[in-house]
Amino acid sequence: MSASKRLTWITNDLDLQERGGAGPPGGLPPGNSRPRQDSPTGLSSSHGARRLDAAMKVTIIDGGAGSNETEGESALYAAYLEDVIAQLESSGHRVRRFRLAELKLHSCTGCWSCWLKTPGHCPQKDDTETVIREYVDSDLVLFATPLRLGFLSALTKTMLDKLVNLFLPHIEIFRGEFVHSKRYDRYPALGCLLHAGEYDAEDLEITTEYFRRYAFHFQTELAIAANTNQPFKEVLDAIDDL
Amino acid sequence: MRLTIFNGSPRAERGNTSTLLGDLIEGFAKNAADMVEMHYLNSPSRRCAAAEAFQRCDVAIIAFPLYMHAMPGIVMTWLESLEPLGHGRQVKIGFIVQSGLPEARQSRAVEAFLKRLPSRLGGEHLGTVVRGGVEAMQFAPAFMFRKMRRAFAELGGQLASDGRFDEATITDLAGHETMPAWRRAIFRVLKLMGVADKCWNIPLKKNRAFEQRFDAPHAPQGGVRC
Repeated sequence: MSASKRLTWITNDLDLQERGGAGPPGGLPPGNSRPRQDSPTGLSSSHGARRLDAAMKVTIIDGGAGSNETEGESALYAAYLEDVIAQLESSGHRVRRFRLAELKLHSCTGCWSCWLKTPGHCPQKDDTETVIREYVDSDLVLFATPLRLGFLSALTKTMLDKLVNLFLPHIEIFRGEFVHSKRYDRYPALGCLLHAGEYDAEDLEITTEYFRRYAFHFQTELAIAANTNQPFKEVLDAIDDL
Repeated sequence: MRLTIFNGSPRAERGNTSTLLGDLIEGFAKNAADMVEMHYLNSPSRRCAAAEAFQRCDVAIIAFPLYMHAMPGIVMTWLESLEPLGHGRQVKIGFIVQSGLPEARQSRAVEAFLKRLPSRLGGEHLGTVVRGGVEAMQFAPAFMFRKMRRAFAELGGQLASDGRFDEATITDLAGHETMPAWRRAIFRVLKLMGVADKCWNIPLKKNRAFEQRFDAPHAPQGGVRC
């Protein structure tokens, strides 16, 4: 994480405290930044105690099947994700996870109200705007999804469609390609965490390429391209190296 | 031949996908007295009916507008609900992906997924057509789209006569992978002159939302971008 981003984050954190708003009470005391000894992954201090100023706000957009994930492949996905979250938290990061299966989420109808009638607002009354508020206030947004038919889940895609409101309708050129301009001044780093299940390496690559394309539209790189076949530590290190 | 079309546009009958499919059907019907069955995916009941129709189809075309570089959520919801086709069925499945932004490259990420999909559903891939710059049909003069619409009619004819899309037509419709430098240069000039943004600014003004067009209502400070 760059120094300027770090500063922004600390400033935001102080603002939150002053406003008495969201966030853990009293911000993040240094004691919280040490990994828990009973970490489910058994990762020890090699992962390192983090300094407060390197703590990130991480939003996980979980396109899995929700709390029914108790058996087979989806249980593996859920367990892996739980471990990532626990480890991130014990490293001092603030993590918020949206389980899309449990949100009220309507499908985008292509009405363009969010561009042309009520800029930045979706006219549907659902949880979209809660997600967007967290999204634009995050240092990292991690899209976690099990592969379905070799691609991202329908829940994930339904959520992504609603994020069109993070762009303006207006078009510009970025690295030789047409993109919609950004609506917000600041966007998070982007990552994906895929669970292959019965699908193969080519499917993982196709889906990762999709997320690279998504990141390109935000004029950034896909900072984390992870999957649950990777050793757990690689994923966490990649996040720590941001 | 019996052609079953699945229109995956959230705008359903009123969208650009519907217009292009209309052209394709016209070309298809010209060369064959066969049936065309049309299904929409923009409501749960329609998706359910379409999933049943999928089990009966011989040749299927799944068409959709590009939303966030892939199929709209409703299309993926429908695909996840499909039962694989029974053994011994020789079903051919083709795709049409049309996007607002002009380059073919915008649709390549989802195309890679689409190529592998038919065999997963128990069918065979008959081709994927990718076409950019289609949303402009909403505001640009009709003559600009004549050639494209003729090509979609040709695709229909090819389906009727050969049961597949012609590679040359697919290549023509895809056009540029990325816009050539001269097109980008023209765009930059139009942008500087304020012409490139007109297609957005006119409806914004009509909707009395022009002053709010850059609003960033969910920014951490709840501010408005200047």
